[in-house]
Amino acid sequence: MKNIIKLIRSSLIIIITSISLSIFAYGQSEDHLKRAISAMETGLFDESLKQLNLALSDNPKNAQVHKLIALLYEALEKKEKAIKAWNDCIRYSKDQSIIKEAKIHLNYLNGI
Amino acid sequence: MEFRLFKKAIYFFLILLYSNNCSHAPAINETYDFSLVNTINIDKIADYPKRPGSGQIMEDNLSFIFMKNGFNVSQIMSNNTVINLNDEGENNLSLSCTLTEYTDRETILIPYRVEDRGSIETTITQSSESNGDDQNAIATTSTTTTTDGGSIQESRKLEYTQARVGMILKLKDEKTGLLVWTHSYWYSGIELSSTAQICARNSVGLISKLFNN
Repeated sequence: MKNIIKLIRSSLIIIITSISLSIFAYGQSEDHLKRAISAMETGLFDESLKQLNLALSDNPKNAQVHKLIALLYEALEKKEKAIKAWNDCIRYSKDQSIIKEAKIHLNYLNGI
Repeated sequence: MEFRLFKKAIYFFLILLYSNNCSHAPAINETYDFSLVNTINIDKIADYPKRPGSGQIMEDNLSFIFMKNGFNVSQIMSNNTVINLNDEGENNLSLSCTLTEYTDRETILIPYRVEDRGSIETTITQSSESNGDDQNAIATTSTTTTTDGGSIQESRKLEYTQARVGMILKLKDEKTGLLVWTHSYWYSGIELSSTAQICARNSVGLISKLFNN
């Protein structure tokens, strides 16, 4: 009986710890995104890119973040990096309007 | 084997044809002789609703990009911009531009979303059985395909602003009223001014191709 209680207790500890860690990870990413948006709206594009890359390290498949990175690289006239970010955006997005927007940008950047 | 390749080639051709039809290429009157054009007069561009000055900004952007592309630009006729192409040309064109979008505070949501696009996994297993005599060996091949449809996980949403500029351009022969070229285009960006300039640059680039400038 004691063993069963011990097992349940340790399982509960593991579950609670993993939930807390995942909430913490999401919170971290959200903080980076919030900081990135604030920096972008005040014209600090380099700082914004730094924060977005930190957010991406937690969630590399977020197409919206790739899109924002691409727009920032375009604003900074870093064409090659913008092309890579738009391609990543297409790879991870299921939203047709974002894919269409990415293709329009890629056509422009590739001079088509 | 050859039939498979042929089938693949047909699919590829159809996809190419479809993507070309879906592209945003301008519409051109193929019979019109653009080498006989003397000038292009840029019509006054109306402001986008609730965006005073947007028409003038786009007109200035067009003049600037025409100049950057090596055209002679003058503004003598009642403040209208005139692009001089060929003194020996007989025809004059008018370029009209309608702003379909000119927004810099459009709010886009960034959902913190994880998109799993799924995957297709194909496993090919090959085995051979032999009774010792090489001539009677039996080879077996089996293929297993697993398709995963993917999933979307979404959490709280954040907002940011994005600029978007859209326009419809028309080139019309002033004498006959014939529409010779038309194009619609939009672009997005972080800053409104640079987005408007990219729109103008793209459009002028396409017009330049008509005159091989």
